[in-house]
Amino acid sequence: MIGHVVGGWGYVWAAWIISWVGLGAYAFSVTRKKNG
Amino acid sequence: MGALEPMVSSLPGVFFGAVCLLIVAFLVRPGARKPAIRALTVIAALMFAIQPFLGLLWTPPEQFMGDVYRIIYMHVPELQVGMLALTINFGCSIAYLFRKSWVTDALAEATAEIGLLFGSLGVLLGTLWAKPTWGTWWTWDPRLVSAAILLVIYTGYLAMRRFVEEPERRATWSAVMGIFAFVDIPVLWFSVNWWRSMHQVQSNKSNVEPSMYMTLQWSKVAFLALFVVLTWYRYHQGYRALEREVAMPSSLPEVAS
Repeated sequence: MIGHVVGGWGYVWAAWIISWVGLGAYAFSVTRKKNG
Repeated sequence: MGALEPMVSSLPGVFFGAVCLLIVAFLVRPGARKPAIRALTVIAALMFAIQPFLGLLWTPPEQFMGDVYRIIYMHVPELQVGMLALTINFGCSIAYLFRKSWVTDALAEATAEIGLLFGSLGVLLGTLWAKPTWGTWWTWDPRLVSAAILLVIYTGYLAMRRFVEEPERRATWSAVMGIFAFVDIPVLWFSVNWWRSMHQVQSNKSNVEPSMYMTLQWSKVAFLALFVVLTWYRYHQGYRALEREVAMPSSLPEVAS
């Protein structure tokens, strides 16, 4: 075992939040805009 | 395996192509699609509701990376679905040059935009993963460079679509650019096999713990469902915009609102 990465959860939460904000914002824009 | 080996090794590619064709057939088929899309939206929502429990709680920490490896459950599906979107863009680009159909042009635009979104998020998450494990946000590794090239090319593709006002010229130029841009997709996929890359090779059943593999597959299906839903909306949005620009033949599909 080489050793655990310290502080890994911070990066994991950041990854999840960035994905959800990005995808959510796009989903909101694409489902609300009616006329292209 | 002998003579069967080439057939078996080509199965993932055949499956990938079949999924692409099924998605295209589903998206462009005439008639009301809202109920099917609503059902798919519910399925995607349920899968994404369960996915954090699988990825953040159920699966064990990785032997060397600890918990930070859990980024894989977002990073890999985003990039793989992004590549699938851009493969559909490639198919639509070829189809447009042969058939000059606005359906293929609208679908090409939708898949390029969503492929770029998924790809950008995937690369961003890759940098988040690289910092604690490689010690740097970015390195000029073949996998990373080919991903960066991909993002630049499709940003250019979408920018070009905004600048060219004449619809037929825009569609033709986009189709040609979509075909050339696709060259980077196999380079991106095989870069970890072709060169001595820092990036790990593709995860599969043989090199990943079963619960991790199952969660990864779950995430991929959830992202795939989300991709189909988003593409359906964006495709019809783009098609409506095209309807205002050009005279549509009556044979093209009805656009459900």
